[in-house]
Amino acid sequence: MLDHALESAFVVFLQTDPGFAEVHFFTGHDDEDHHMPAITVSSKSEPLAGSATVFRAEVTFLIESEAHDSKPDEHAVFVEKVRARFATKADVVAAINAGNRVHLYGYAFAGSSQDVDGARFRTTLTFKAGYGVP
Amino acid sequence: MPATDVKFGITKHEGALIDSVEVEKKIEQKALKGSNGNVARVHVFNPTNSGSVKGHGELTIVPGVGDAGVSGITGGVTVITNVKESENNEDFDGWEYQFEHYPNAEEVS
Repeated sequence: MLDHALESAFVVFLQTDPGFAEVHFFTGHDDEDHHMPAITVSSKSEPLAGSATVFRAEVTFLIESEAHDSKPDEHAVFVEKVRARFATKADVVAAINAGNRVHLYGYAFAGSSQDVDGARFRTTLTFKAGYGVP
Repeated sequence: MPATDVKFGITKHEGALIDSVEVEKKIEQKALKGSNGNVARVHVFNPTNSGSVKGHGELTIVPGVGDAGVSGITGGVTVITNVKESENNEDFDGWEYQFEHYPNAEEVS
């Protein structure tokens, strides 16, 4: 459940932004149908030096828009809002750590990818993160 | 040696976020050959230890005479020969130090 704690912390952080009021949030453990627009946060962790409390994680944010209802430019604006939310690292770290579920030491943007099928635009933002649990 | 005698993980250092500990024990030797060409007399002297520790988190060790923090490295003089600290964008910060241990030496100022 370590990854789920980190995923949930990021979801709570994003949900506090009024600009995402219409967005549906999911974590890697959720298996329900994704209602658009959606952000799914999933994480994969490995321990630092065999520690049971400090971890490296690869965190992915899957950003999805309804392809029938939105144009690609609108999806790009949605993605940009997510990226901008993570632009000020100190603020993000402070907000996540205020939740007391995990302690985020830092993160770095590691890449992005995108694809589209008949129904939805999908963009994946990937971050490398270092975090600990109490 | 039976498998039950092996160790797994770091046991030589008390730190919580230690990646690796290496210790090399060395000794010098003087061998004298006899008239038939075989080594006939051997004298060993000057045992020393050297090693390195790699890890993460707060580090208080500085170069100079000090404590390597490695079990079994006691007595004599231990010199921390170099300390390297590292950071990169996608990982935790880290450090590494190397030491030389002279168990029969005395420090002089």
